[in-house]
Amino acid sequence: MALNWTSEQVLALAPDAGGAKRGKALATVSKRPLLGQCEQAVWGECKGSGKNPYRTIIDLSEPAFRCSCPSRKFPCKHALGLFLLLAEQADLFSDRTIPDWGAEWLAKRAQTSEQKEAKQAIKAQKRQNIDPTAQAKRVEKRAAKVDAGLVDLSLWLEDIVRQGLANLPSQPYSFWDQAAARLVDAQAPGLARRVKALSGIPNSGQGWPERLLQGLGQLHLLVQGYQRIADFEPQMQAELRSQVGWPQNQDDLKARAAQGDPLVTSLADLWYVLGKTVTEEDKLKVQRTWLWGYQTQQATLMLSFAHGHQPLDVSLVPGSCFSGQLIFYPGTGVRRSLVNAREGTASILPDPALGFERAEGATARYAQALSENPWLLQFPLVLRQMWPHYSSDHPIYTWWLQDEAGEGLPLSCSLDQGWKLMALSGGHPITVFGEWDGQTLRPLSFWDSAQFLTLG
Amino acid sequence: MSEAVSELKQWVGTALVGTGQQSPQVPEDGSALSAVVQQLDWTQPEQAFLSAAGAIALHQQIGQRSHRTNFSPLPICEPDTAPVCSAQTAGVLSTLLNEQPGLLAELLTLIVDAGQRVPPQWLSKLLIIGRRRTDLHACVSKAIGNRGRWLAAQNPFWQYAQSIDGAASERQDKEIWKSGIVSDRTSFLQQWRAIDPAAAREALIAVWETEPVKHRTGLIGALAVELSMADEPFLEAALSDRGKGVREQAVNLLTRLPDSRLCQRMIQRVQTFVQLQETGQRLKLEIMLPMLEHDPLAWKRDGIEPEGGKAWCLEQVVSSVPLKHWQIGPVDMVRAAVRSEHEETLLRSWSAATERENNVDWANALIDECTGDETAISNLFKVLSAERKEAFLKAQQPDSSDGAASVYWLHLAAQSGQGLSLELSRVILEKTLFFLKKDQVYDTLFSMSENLAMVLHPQIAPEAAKAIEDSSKINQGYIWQSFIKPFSRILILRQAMHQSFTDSTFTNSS
Repeated sequence: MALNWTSEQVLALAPDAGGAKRGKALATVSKRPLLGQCEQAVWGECKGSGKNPYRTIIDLSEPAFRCSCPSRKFPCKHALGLFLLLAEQADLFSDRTIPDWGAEWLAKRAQTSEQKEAKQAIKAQKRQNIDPTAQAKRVEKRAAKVDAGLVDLSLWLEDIVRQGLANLPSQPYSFWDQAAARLVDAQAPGLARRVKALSGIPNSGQGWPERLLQGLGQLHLLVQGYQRIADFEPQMQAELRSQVGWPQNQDDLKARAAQGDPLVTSLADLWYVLGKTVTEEDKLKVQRTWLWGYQTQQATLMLSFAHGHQPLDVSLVPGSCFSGQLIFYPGTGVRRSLVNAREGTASILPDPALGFERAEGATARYAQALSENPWLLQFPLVLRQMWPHYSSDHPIYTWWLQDEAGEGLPLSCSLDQGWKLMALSGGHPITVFGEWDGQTLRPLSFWDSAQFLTLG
Repeated sequence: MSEAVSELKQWVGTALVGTGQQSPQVPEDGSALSAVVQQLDWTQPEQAFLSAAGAIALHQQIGQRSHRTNFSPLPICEPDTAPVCSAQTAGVLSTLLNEQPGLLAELLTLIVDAGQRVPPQWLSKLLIIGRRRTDLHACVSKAIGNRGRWLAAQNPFWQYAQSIDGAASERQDKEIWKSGIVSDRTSFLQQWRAIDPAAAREALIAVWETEPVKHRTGLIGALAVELSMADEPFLEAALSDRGKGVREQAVNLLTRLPDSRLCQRMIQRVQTFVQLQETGQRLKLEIMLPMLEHDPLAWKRDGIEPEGGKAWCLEQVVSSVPLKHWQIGPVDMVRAAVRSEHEETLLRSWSAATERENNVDWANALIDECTGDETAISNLFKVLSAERKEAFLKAQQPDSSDGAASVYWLHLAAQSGQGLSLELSRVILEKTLFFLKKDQVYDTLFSMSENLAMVLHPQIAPEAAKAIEDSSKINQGYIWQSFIKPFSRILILRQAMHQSFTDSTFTNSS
């Protein structure tokens, strides 16, 4: 078998805490009249409330899931339970002949992906037939809207500075919300998100005026940059557009990559899935998954969005790696990308032997990344040879990673997570992957010679 | 402003009052950043101010370096020889930590018995939960291996788990003892007793006079850990304490020390009114009820309440006497008591002493004679060996038409600890479901749900699930919510827990 999945990896796929709990409850043999596996897939039946058992199958190459239950959660508890059972007791999957329903689904999947490719070809064809003047008109219209939104935002920012920050803590939430809503109307959702992120600062405790001033200044620089977009190199222009929130169509990107557009690079490599985190803004779930190319030494970010109960993408499992081709969005610095093609099945991530052994080297690399993209929010960092430390005297930060030279980076993590890192270290140096925001590192994954764990 | 331009702090004053009130003063320090700020168009103060803030913020962010921390290195943990438990067991463990900590003792014992240990990623959560559960302390410190004990040594709140056998620990964090809240101080004292009983007692004596009475009761109770004759002088003095709770605790602890002065006084008293006479093959107990007017203050000091009457005084004295005082074996003693006119008083007193001393022989001899005395039976039942408990339950099995007796029998079964056979578990399950299905449900049954599920044989889970599924009376509504749901959940978890050790598959999580 290509990959020994671990329970941690499987549970990280759960759509929410409740899903993980129910999945665990179903990871018992007693409810499973049938369990089987072949190289590509595992399958099983699971007794539910109805007369017929639910039929679940997992295509391990991605992984992809299919279950006959009516749940809208994805993956559903039956799929998670089956997957957990595989991680914990692989030997129970004794059946080797794939049942008809399973084979059917796998065949259908193969067929769908073929159909998808055919559709892509048709779409590409269509794209070529698009009336260029009509499209240019649409773009122009949008640009005008964004420009107007930026003028409005500029005035709003100037007003805040003129009237002083002192009265902001007493402003109602609508003060920020309305400004953000106007930016959404102006088709600049990237800026709207930044305005919303500012809204929490006036009530965030000591030092807030400085933090808010910092945020306002950065937002202003972004507005200024965008208003002078023509002065920049094409890559930076693309970065500015994406920061403001110009939409980027994936099909479009694929087509541009195929046509050899110099702004849209595509890279084939062995990609390590280093870690992921999900945040929730209003009712929108945003999943950031960080990848690292083994040959190209490139870090990249994959984003997945889901409204309400919609499922997030689960095809990238932290701690696994795959060979494939990624298409990078135009921009600068650490760029966003999408999977264009995957080859073969995912396999377990060996200790990737990458990252920084010195805190100083890590911050220096971050400074470089900022010079490539001054609007960078999170920077992926792998830190090796670090010792977790608990500090009871530091005024702000409790948990730290310290290198051999006695230099440290503060961690943004719960008390429990900190002790977990400490337990995993046992006084030995550890390897941690996390997001660095310029102040603190948010740990997402852990390795040692024997295992990979997601922290959360 | 004459300070460095590069500090955003310098701009906060103006930012707070607003550029409308206070024109920004543009500092100059000859740096490149200062030159950039100077060049901004300050005729538009708001725009220039925002640009300056943005530039300085970026400058700060780029200049942000790691901190000089210089934490002294932690000691390195001794390697573990025991393997971590299987991924399957770890899965059950994580479920228990999140939703059923009541089952942890069973799982940890299984882990220890299998010569395994808890995987590092679950140690901190277990130590946090274990801290408040003194009943878990011993099995936690065994199940966590060297890694866990090393981790416990890094956090003063986890001192309880630092050593397996109470070997002296080097790091004694006395902060909690000095300034913690009373519940933390009490549990700290208990942990300290386990490690160094003498030092812990001396520490208690040192602060004793200044402690408020309401704290003393809990603190003195901590001496129950590693109780010995060395504690006797302090406890004897505490018999005169002004706190009633403190005095009761002192009596309670002293009766557990057969050589204590209190026990000696009790023996002296008992000798004056209980006499053993052997007439031929027969043993006879000659009882004279105590004369209460004789020094009532001394009696009170030893925790005896003369107000309850003579028989009650007899009971209190006899139950405080160490069982070894009776020299003759329990079987003969019990037989003699049955022939005496004070049968009930004697049996009840000995039952209390038996529970306190956890004496299996006395429990075996007493339990069959205590029929009808539910308190005595409950006390004695706890002391019996697992086999004897099973045999007792089988022998006492009441007819299902007798509701009250059946519910009491189930109540005993729920206290039987683990180790019941599958066969008896089936009977218990059947009886439980029988009474749940009745129109008139006994309310006391509901409080037994979790305890019953914890004592049944773990393999009964599938049969239980089937039996429940077949009855619509119990698989929905109130009975489902308040009895069956927690009952089934525990049975399933326990089955999974045991299975994870017996399965041939052994996919290791590390």
